[in-house]
Amino acid sequence: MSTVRRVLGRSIRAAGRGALVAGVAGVVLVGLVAQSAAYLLGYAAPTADGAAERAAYVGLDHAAPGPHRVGVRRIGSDDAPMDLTVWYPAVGSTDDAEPLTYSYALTALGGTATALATYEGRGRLGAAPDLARGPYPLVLLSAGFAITPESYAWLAEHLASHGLVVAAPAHPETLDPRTLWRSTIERPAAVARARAYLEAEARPGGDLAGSVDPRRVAVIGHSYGGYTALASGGARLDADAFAAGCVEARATDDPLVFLCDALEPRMPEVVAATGNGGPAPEPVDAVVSLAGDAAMFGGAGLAGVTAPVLTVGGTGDDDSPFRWSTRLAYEGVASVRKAEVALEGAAHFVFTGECDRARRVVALVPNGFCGDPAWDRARARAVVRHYVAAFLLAELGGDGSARGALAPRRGSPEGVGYRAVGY
Amino acid sequence: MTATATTSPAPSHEAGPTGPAPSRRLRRLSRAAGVLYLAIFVIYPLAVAVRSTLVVPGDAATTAANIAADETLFRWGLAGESAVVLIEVLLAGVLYALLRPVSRAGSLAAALARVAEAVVMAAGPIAAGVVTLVLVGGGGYLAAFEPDQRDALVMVFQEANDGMVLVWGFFFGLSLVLTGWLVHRSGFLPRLPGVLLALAGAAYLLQSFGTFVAPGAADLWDAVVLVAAIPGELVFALWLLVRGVDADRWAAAADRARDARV
Repeated sequence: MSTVRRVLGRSIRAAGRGALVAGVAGVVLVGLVAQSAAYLLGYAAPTADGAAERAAYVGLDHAAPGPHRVGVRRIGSDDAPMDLTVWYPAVGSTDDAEPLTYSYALTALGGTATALATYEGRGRLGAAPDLARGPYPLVLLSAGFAITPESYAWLAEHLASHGLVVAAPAHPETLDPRTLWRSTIERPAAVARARAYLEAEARPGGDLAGSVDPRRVAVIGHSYGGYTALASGGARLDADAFAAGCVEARATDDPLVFLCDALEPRMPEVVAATGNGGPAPEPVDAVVSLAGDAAMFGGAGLAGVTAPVLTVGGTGDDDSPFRWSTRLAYEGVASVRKAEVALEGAAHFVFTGECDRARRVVALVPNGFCGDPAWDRARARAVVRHYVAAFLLAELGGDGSARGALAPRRGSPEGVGYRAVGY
Repeated sequence: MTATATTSPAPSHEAGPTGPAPSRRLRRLSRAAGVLYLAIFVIYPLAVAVRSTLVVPGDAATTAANIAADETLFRWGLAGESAVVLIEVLLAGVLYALLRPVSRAGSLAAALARVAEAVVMAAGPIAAGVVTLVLVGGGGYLAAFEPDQRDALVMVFQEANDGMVLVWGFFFGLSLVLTGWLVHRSGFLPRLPGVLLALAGAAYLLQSFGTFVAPGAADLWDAVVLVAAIPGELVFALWLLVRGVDADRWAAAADRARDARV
């Protein structure tokens, strides 16, 4: 009996020691993971290289900053239908305030923007608008799915420096593909509400009177923002065309399958909610789609777009495949004037924020957010700045030299495929 | 000498009539130190990680919006830092008791430096966090500030926090260097953890001074701390927890210290 008790006692003690060792090992492991996380979530030292950025402008007439200083306003949802960030031509010296630092961020956790990197802008918060040379055409900017508007400040500031007012509505989204169908419904409506608000404020006595010219309006967007821009420009959803595209994509293992899986099951609901067959959205003067998803429109749905269109995309894009976004949009729209810019080999996030100061995890772990397999990002941004500014200045400002820059006979930069009709 | 010490009855180190034997108390003390150290090893980086997810350097609007949107997470981070402050004070006392036989003055200095670190952490980063919560809380009187100004104030306190971390780093580094020195010469703890602790302390001092003097190389100083600090603190904590101090040698050192004082 006592032997049994001794053996039992030894076993219990051994089990206790084992549990203790396992517990301590577990705590140490958690600690090591926490230490690594704290280090990797921190931000690396800034790597901004202004000289490299300026060198990227060479040969691209409209890539360099324009003549205007840039002001920035954030209009909260207390005053506007949603949070809006507005970039505009401003007055004032460069000494009057520090330029803003922007985040390149994703809303990955409920409501909280997770910054991947930060970058220095040129815009001054609250700077007085330059009313002497206004009013300026309005450009509505729609960010990519769950990406914050200020991730595109590098482009918005550039357009404002060239005499355009850029307004970016915040799309309240979280990085969850299961909610993509809801964004498909809500995004074009949100852009329309933002436009109505800005147009109302542009009237005499309004907050933006003298700044915004509501008669000249363009919509630009990246990724799902590109979808939004096309929809705002008159593109209609086509469930049958999308289904046919998905069948083909699944047969060839095309990356479009991701979008198909997220959207196809809810497509009838989405089509019904967006009111296909109802009144067309208020016309716009120009549409820019940066790797904008277009498969849900199909060729026939895209024919609803008659405004001038610029599509820009990377041929190495696996998130919004070039064929189903940039190319499909270019070939499908019924615009008299249209242009397509193909960044050879570029991936999806070549259009998102600069990465002057990235989190260490972004810098150390291979990912597509701050790098590109084929392009130096500063050079890619310069190409995008050039074509987008030239297109919008030509279409909204009647700028002859900008229109000339879009002529196919002018050739294209190295690594860029370009074609256009009507220029 | 070691054999004699370990095989002798050592009446003063075994069970006594009024409570646990000194060796058992020593074991409890060293285990307590190990547990406290491990707690800091886990809690502090988690608190830092929480802050890192919410605070975006230079971007006041995003930082304020993140904290307002996830105030509970921010509060948990503050609670973690507050817990570390309390643990540091306790640990200072426990380590003082353990290392006093080596050098009373040195042990006291190490404990005071650790307490100073805790005080700076409470008066700096934690206080900055509390002010941040007030600012994002949006009390009526804050209407005197424009939203952009409130965001900017949040950023001011959070960026000041980065500097305050370096200030407590001075005291923490000094505490580790002294503790390492005490462990190295103690005789009742192995020398290696002492050397590693001193290196960790030197790394913290290098980070604090280096970032003040050469902020452009902050990445380098951070990496130095990551590489140098974790081994030293982890080995020391695990040694205290698993092996503890050699009770007989500790008693001998205590006797020597008492004789020297007399």
